Parts: sequence; structure tokens; C-alpha cells
Amino acid sequence: MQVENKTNFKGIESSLQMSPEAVIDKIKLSKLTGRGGACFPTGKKWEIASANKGDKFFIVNADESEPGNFKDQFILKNNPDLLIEGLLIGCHAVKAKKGFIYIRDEYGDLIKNIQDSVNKYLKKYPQFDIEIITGAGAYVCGEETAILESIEGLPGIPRMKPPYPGEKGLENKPTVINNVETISMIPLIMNNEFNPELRLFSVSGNVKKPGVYEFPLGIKLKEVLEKAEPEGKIKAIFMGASGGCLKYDPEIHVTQESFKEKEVCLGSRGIIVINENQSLITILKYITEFFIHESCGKCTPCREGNVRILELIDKSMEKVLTKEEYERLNDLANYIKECSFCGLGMSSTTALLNILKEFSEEFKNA
Amino acid sequence: MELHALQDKYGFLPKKRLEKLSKKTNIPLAIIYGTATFYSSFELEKQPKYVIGVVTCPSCIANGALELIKYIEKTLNIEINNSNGKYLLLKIQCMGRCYDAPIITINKKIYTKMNIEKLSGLLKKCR
Repeated sequence: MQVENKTNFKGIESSLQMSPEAVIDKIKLSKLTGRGGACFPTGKKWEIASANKGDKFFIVNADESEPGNFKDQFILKNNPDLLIEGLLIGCHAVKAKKGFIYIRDEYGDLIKNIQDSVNKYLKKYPQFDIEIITGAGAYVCGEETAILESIEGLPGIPRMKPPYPGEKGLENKPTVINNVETISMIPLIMNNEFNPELRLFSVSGNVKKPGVYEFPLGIKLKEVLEKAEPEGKIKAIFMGASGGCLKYDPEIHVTQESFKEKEVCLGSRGIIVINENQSLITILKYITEFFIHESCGKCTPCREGNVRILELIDKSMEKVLTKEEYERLNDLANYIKECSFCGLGMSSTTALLNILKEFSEEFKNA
Repeated sequence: MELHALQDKYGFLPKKRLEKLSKKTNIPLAIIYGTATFYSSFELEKQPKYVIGVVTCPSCIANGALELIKYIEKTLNIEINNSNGKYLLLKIQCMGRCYDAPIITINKKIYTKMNIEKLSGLLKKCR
């Protein structure tokens, strides 16, 4: 896997010999896009922040809280140097005053390893400043503006956008926020070792060999799952909790576009394999509970709507829903998708909508 | 950072310590409370001796998390999301160890690849 490459200061050394603008140009040329799911061009993001005057900040989003996703953890555990070196290159490129690594509380056992790597780099490059900030168990803090609030010591409630963090971020200063996998690609680009087609996949669920795998985008789904050795006949895959539920199609190509056609979001490629022994409605119930628990409470559709959805799911597990109740379930799911304030709410009913469309018989048998 | 330190020291955030923190930092107590209650890593009350969490995200459910809950309920004579004074049993969210599902936690310590046999041994140690 390319994220296992040892960079040994090569990336930062060559970056420091280049102007910040030249580094940004090189990142833009590499066509690197965000690996957290949004796929925004990384070089462009850096350029926007860099164009603003005054103090700037750089944040690595290591708040990997999406169920079924653990590929950032793989990098943090096995090759933190690659991440730290990428962060320093980022700080150099956008002329950031300070870099932060915002890591979820549940990854606390990895912090010492990361801090050791930070210390090693800061000893050699004392002109930089890096701080590790620990989250406190809030999924919404993976949202880029919620991270800003959390680092400022406040509840992680998402901010209105625009302004985007590249203009007004931490302490209202221009701030770049990138995912762990994205930043780990930076030294590889500087060392000319970067393959833009490869992506990390987290595979879990009903498989014999769950874990992190690397594949090129566009590979067939069956080829991804074969590596993980599915147990039993596959019924569906969940793309985390928020990406939706895809009826298993072995021939589908794993790309943003082909998944989007099925109204499923590829996101950060966390695949949870579900076999025919499982009830999708039971899984859906707990996904809905997840979103109720993790809603920040700011907007009504997400905060209240998912509670009403859970009531109907619970009811469906006891008796067959009436036609009106089905319609209400569908209406609520669409309303939450369209009207929620941030991505958490908007994506909280993706799996429900997929199941209503592709697996309506599950409701009758629940 | 201050809240993390208090949580680590006391196992919860004692009201008196939060009042002291408010005075020291000049941050209104309401803001500190609002922050503390927003994040699920912080507790505002002293916790029972054993807090048991079972992850109920899709990978853990697909690997038998619900059977673990049933077993704990029966063995400890307790209901999910309830405490009997000594034990508190909770459904908890993804810990990022889906490759080792199903996952439980006891007093925040993570136990992986759980099954009834392993769980039975762990619960015996929590008597």
C-alpha cells in the first residue's frame, strides 16, 4: 500500500527548497482530491486559504467516526510520520502559523505514537508548531466547521457556510482542513511516488478477513469483497451509516458516479458487508438511533425527524405498517434529507430511502 | 483540555470543580455545562462501579452485538440503558474497531471480537 511508504524527511526537505506557491502548484498538478468523501481538489483548497492575508491555520481531521471506517486509523497506527510530514508540508505551503491534529477520543491509544512522531519532526524543524487535540465523543465533529468550534472549546455545532474555513476558520482566520488520508498523500506527491488512482477501503461486517485494503477506483465491487472473503450470501452493503444501503451488485464499478446512480454515497469507502441472515430493518433501527444520538440538535428536521422515523421503524418491527405510515416514513426521510442544516442530517436517511426503494419487502417481514 | 483532565481524574465532572473552572477561566458556568453535556465522553454524575457498553453499529450488529446485550441483561439482571446501582448497561456508538467486531467496553476499556464465552469470563470478573 502506498500509505506504508517510508518518507524519511525526503518530502519535507524537497518542499522546503521550493516556494510555498510552487508546492501548491505541484499538489494541484497531482490532481489530489479530498479522501474524506467530499473529493474537493486539495491544491485548490490550499490556494484559497493561501490567498488570504494574515495568520492561517492547518487542521488534520482525524475524527474518523463514521461506522465501518478505520482506514485513517491504519495510517495513524502504522505510518504516522507520513501524516506529520504531510502536515508540515501543508503548513509550509499555506504559510500556516500552527497545525492541529484533531483526533477522536476513541483513538486515544494512538496518541502517544503520533506525539512521538510530532516531537521527532519538531526537533528537526522547530520553525513549525503542531498540537494534538482530542475530541470528546461527538460524530458531528467530523464536519469541518464543527471541528473549528470544538478546537475553540465549544460544543461542536456546525457553522453556516459560507464563509468557508479557507476564508474564515479557526479564530476566524483562514484555515485548511484535510482528512488524514489526504494529507498522507502529500509526501508521496513530493517524492514522486503518488498513484492518484489508489484508494483505501475499510471492509467489515459479514466477512472472514475484515481490514483495510487498497484498490484503484473503478474496480468491480466483487473484487473488493473477494479479498475480504464474505461469509454467506451477500444481501447488501452499507456505506458506513450515512452513505446508504446498496443492494449487492457484484459487477458495479466502485466509483462516486456509479454509486450515485444507485443513490448511494461512496464517501470514504467504508464498506459493511451484510449477508442474508441479517435483518436490514434491525440494522436500520440502530443506524437511526445512531443519528438521534449524534445529532447536535441545531436544526429541527434532523433532531426531531429521526425520532419520528425511529417510532415508525419500531412499529414496523411489531406489525405491518399501513399505507399512510409508509408514506409518512418516506416523506419524513425526504424532508430530513432536503431540509437539514448540515451533512449529518442530510445523509441520516440515505439508508432508509435505499431500503424503502430496494428492500420494501423487508418491512413486511420485519 | 480542562474538561478531559477533570474527567480523567474523577471519572466524571464534579459540579464544584466546574464552578471553580468557571471562576478561574471567566467562562460562564452555563457555557461550561453546555459544552460538557454536548460531548458523550463527559459524565456529569458519578458512574456505577461497572459501566458496560455494547457497540450497536452495523458491523457489530452483523457480528452478534444484540446477542451480547441479551446475555448481559440476563446475567446481570439489568435492562439496556438502565442501571441497578452497581452496573450500567449502554448501547454505544462505533469505536472504529469494526475489523474486530463485535466490540464491548467496560469502564471505557475496549474488548474486541467478543463472544458469549469471552463475555461470560469478563462478567465474572466484574462481580
